[in-house]
Amino acid sequence: MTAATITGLGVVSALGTGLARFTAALRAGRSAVGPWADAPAGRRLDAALLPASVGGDVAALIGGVCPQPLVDRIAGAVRRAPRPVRVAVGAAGQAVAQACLADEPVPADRLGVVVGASGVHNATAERVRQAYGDRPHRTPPRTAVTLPDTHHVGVLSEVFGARGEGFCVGAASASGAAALVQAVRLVTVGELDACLVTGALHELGAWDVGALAGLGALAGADTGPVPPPFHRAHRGFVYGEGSACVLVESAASAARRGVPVLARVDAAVQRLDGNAGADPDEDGEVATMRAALRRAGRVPEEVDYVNAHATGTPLGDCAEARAIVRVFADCSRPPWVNATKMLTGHCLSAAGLVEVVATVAQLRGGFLHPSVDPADAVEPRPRLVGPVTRDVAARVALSNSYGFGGFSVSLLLSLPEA
Amino acid sequence: MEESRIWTMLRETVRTVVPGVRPEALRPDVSLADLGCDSLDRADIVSMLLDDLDLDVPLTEFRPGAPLAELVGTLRRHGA
Repeated sequence: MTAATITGLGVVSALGTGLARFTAALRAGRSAVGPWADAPAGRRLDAALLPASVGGDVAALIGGVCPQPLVDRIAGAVRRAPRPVRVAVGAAGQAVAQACLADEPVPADRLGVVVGASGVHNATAERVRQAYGDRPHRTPPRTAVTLPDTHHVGVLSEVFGARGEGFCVGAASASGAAALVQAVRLVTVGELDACLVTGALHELGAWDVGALAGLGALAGADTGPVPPPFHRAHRGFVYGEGSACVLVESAASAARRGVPVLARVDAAVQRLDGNAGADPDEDGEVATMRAALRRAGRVPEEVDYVNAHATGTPLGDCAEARAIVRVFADCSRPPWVNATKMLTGHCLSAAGLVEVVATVAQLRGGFLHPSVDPADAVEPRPRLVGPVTRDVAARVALSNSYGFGGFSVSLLLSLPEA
Repeated sequence: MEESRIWTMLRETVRTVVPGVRPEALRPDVSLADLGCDSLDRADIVSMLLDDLDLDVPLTEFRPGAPLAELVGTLRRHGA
């Protein structure tokens, strides 16, 4: 077994495109959440949306960080791909550039692609149905290839020349984090040297919005702005558009290529709650966090920071708050806690990886972005960062992701030894 | 519609889908596959032509690997 590290990060988020802008926005505590003009299903909603132009031009997502020949090749290859795929290629291009994968490649058959995606093209499917519902024999044949989530894997492997193992991982809102779990497994058993792990931009259609709002998961904005995660007046999540890519690489491969390690993945654990529904399971969350600590050979006292899944739903926030308090109950100084969804919205399939990027950005930047004010928080409450960014030299972090259907993921990430 | 008009539309559609193809390469005896189009490109081209010509013809009417003359002939037979 070899150690898994992170050597490249990419992000396309309403908070900013590219690691530098995204990190600056986290440090500033800037929220990208605002009113969602023309929300589907005629609802009044808040959201953190990408500018409409993002995704139209992939070069704009990778220009400045990628070598020009790669930019040209990518722009040509994805010219007619659907918007979520173009955005994913943009995020992946950033990670590839940071990891110097174009100049110092790993062998093609040792490079994999794992994509966290769980029905991310529902909105496109709705549009196809509207256009061709009365004449299905004229449905554009391309949709046979482009509508399934797996189109992301095909395009990413073609663009970046990956010939190793690859697939989609579906685990509802934990898909991105669950994809990282599988990539870490492939790298640590020696099947791959490196793996591009992306979380797909999850477009919401009118049916998704109607169902999620009806369930009480998606918060309406009729009565004013939606309170942030862990706020005691929480009433649901705010949708966020985003995609992220993490290049997972074996420590040996990173050393061979001479590229810097941004962070180590000390453990990546996924569990099921045995629960087909939408409700969280506090005991399952506790068990997953403890399993990650055990596998990493760490004790709770070593964890400096928890990037919570916390979406803003009353059931989910309270279960996770209790679970975190339990796991770190014996710590003299429990870890700081915040929830990146307060700033990015809930990026659904991509959320877990957007939050891995946010976690590593904060560890490396020596700061933790704001959370809800502890005075307004749920009880029991974990040790929240509070309304102002803190300068904290955190080295070890836990990042949680949960999904409908009892999916539970905890990732233990740490800075490499200086 | 005049046959030359359909050929013009075909050339424009091919250029949209596969920008690398030279217009003079579109001869009656070559197929879309000969021009370097993969199966998705070919289906897209036929599909877009049917939309532009406002024809409701099942895509299965178009024989894969047919020369362009046959493709244009099939369009005309269905009313283009």
